[in-house]
Amino acid sequence: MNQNNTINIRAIRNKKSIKKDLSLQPKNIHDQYYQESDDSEDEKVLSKIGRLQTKKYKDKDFIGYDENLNKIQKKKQFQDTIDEFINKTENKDWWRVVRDELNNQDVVLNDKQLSMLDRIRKGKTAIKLADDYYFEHEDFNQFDLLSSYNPKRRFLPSKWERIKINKLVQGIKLGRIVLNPPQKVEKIFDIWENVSEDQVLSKYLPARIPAAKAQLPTNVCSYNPPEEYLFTEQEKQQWLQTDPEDREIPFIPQKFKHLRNVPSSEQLTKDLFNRCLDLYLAPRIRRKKLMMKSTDFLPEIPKPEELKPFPTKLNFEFGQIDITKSGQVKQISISQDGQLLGVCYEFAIAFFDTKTSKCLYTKWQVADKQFLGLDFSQSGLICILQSNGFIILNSFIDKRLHPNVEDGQNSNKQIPKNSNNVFEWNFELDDNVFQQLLEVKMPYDPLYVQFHTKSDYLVSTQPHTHVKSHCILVHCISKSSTSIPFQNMKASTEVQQTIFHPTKPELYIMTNKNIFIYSLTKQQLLKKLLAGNQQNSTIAIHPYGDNLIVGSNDQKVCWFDLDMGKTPFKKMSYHKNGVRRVIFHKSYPLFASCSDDGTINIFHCRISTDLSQAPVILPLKVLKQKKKESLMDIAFHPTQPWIYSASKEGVVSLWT
Amino acid sequence: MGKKIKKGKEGPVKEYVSRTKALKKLQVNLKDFRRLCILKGIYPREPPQKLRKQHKTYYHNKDVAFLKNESILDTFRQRQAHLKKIRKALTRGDKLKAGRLRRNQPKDKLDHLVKERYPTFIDALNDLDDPLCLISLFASFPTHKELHIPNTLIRNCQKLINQFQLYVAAHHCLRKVFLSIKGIYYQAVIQGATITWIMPYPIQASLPLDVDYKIMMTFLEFYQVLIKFVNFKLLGQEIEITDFSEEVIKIKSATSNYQIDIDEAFKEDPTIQQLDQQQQETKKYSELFKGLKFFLYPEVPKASLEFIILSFGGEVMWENDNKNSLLTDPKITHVITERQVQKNKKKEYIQPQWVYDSINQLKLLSVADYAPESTLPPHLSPFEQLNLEEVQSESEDEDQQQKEHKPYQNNKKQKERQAKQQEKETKKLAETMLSRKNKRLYDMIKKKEDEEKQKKTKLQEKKKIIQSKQQ
Repeated sequence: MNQNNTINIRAIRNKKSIKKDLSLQPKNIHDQYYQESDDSEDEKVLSKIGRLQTKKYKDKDFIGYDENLNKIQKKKQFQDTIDEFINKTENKDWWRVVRDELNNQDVVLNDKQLSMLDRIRKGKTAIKLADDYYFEHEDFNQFDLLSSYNPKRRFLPSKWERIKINKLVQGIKLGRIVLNPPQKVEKIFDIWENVSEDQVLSKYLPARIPAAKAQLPTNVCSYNPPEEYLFTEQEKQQWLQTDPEDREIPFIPQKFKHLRNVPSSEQLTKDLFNRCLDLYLAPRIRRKKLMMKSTDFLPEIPKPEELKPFPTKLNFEFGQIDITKSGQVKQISISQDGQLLGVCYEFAIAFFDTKTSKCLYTKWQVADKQFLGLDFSQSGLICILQSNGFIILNSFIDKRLHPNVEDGQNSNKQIPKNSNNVFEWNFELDDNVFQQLLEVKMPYDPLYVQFHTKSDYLVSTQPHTHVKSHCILVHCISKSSTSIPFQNMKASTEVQQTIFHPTKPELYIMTNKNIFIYSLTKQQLLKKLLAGNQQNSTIAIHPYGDNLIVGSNDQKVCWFDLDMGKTPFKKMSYHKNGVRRVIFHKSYPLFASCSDDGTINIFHCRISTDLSQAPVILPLKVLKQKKKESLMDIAFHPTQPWIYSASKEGVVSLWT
Repeated sequence: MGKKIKKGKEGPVKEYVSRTKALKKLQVNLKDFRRLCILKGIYPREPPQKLRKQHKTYYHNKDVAFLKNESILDTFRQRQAHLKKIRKALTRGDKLKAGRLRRNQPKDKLDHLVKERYPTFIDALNDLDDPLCLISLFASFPTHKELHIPNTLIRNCQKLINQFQLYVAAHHCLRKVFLSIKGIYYQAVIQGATITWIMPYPIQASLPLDVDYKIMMTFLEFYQVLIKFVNFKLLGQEIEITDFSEEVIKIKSATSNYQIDIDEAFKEDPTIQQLDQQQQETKKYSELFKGLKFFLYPEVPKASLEFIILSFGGEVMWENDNKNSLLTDPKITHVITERQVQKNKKKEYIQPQWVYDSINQLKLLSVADYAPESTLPPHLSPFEQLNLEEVQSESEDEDQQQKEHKPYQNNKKQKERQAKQQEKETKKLAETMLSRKNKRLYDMIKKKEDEEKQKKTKLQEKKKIIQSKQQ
């Protein structure tokens, strides 16, 4: 009973806990309060948990422990809030029901209990006392004993208050103070009705770049995508393993059977948030976007079929002469009419008939001298380079075919001996075919020789001279003289090859890195071309004379357009080894290059007379040998689209 | 010798200001600066490479000067002073005064910003995507006390998006619709400007907590004002929408008489012809669902369907309190539902996807595929048209091949192979002809193309596998 009592007293003190405590009491609380009966049987506490703060177990499944320290489980009255709600609507007295959690039962409060609760809330005694009326209706201040009388100021109106009120009144009158200001309604109007140019501020500002529009959804984003867009198990795993930033699609595509099955996703909110961030945090740049397909870039080129004829396959190999005796091939050359093919071996010179591939004439070297090269002139003379000089032969096979031969011969005959000559000129005038006409002796080995188109002049290059100025020599047959065009040569220049321009009086000198163009009439440097190669090896001029190709040991072939500038118009690096020789075809728009890797590249080159049009250069064909021997020299047939090649081993072959 | 130019005095260095310097210049804190940038639509700039430092953002000097003259900055400062007053009142315990002050806080006026950012109406229309997306997103949100999303904001968003959609529906501006996982995409063309926006599904949205709603709400603040003015300009008046369909009909009746009648003499003018063509096209859009009346069951997205059906000339109704009209109405031609219901033979029963697909293809599709009990055909994106055509053309090729006889086929195949090889060779040749600069571009583009091709082939392979499995 004692315990019971204390609970009651506490309940009155603590308004919050009253509901719980009240529920502990029997229904007739009034009686119980007065009749202090000792029997506690009225009150049945079913689950004894002791005096514990029930707050602590608020969130847990149990209300406390019994004497055996077993958990006492909470019993839920309702399944969920919906049940509770339904109960509320059905039960009219729900508001006066108090839950007794200890005993797991509902207690319905009666009117008396309610009125008691009401009184306690108002701070009165729980039950009406006899003195109640007195406390409710009398003023306590009447019995203020400490101050016997009120001061005067209590009965007079305050001056300061008056002043303040007057101010407020005045303020209200003047409209300075508005008590309940009406809320301003925002006006709507046509803001774009009249726009004048002056109002456009943006024109004083840096150019504004509109934000890129958000990407439009693709089929993958559909709620019902085609089945192939869904992930397979493997793809799903892959997707899960990749970093969220690297994912191509930021979600796993899903297929829903009905539109109503689509769940709400947070993705949209996140996407739009990221878009907002992009809009105000990301710097904007105007980037040019190419709306082109890759095929738009490709230049329109004629098909290789249309560019025919050009050599495509091996026709036959010339019957070679004994290589053990003859040595390596140094150079090949073809006569202007295309009848003769001259092959220069180390120790022999052989002339083949191009039609029958028969060896017409072979000249063997005497003693320890070597042949170094050969060139045919327009009129039919053959210049053969050998150690310490060169010889000139005539190649007049059929005199009827070469009416001008006689002149050449005659001119040779008329040449007087020039005593002022630097080098020794020996004339051995002989009318027979392949007979020596003259021999010039020099103290060093010439490496390359070229006839001028008029076949009176020869230019020979001998890089390994002890006199630097003797690198380039120009020989005149009719005058039987040798001139030294460049008296002052720098010691560092290493001349590789020298050629005449086909039409103009110009000399093209190719050094290791550059090409110099000299005018023979003005005797001055016209132009310097920069190939950009480490070691140039060969040069050729187009028959029209406006274009130039240079091959180099660093696998490159450069095309120069003489009208365009110093640097190559185009660089072609198709060879896998040093380029040995480049040549132009005399009648077809073809040029070719051969290399140590044993291949010949055939190119098409179309040059228009219109200066505005750049030359068209097209690689056409790669001719490959069966054995990958390095090719020493190639030569185009002057009238046919044929090419002759000579390999290091002495195999001379024809490609048609 | 001229005067020596000091560092940072001339040239592009002078044009760019780092963010910290901009803050100092404007005398605002970062929070206010961001807000200012969002409202004024100012974004960082990328200075030239040599001026750039890592992890630094730069603004254009003129932009910052532009911000400095902004009247909103004044209200920022006023508000700060006001907040101080409130704090003072609260510490003194004068709740009344604090309350009054709080009510009378100075508010930002954004009207002038609209005109400043979009000098002409067309400018505004061209930049309407983001505002509409954000507004329709917030219109679907529930109120949230902790995230400070008030009910008034949501109501206003709903009002604005409804007004805009009212215009679109009444003037038949809608062109494409797409049901994505995230929501429903709409694309409309208004006065030549293409506007795309997305509307979430009408389900209770769950708000992700890793998103800063304050930033979105700052955007929204401006967007609301913008859309308000745009709507007014479009509709000519402010309309409180209670019944969407009724309002649409009202506007239609007001504008239907308006049509350009062209004099015979001018009919051959090319611009007039173009205009005529446009008119006919819009007529196509407005008459797709003409004469059809749709009945909506409660499980379908009512608002979306109402909007799109009305904008393509149809009529909509659903179950009201007066149940008499339900289905007995002889005017109803289509019933949109996803459940299997008892069928009336005179009416077509379809799933909602039928409406969306028909709009995208601009013709009434066959109803049988979209019956409530059947599995739906895939819903394709109307924004990805290329793919569709390719797939179709390829399938046609296959059909043709199957029709041909075998012996011919072999011959043809060989010829094709040869032609293909030749093409390859010429392509290789042409590649060698490219200059170095073009070659780089070519390689880049080719790489992209190849990737796309790979993706497509992968998809097609997958499709084939799926088809073979089904068979």
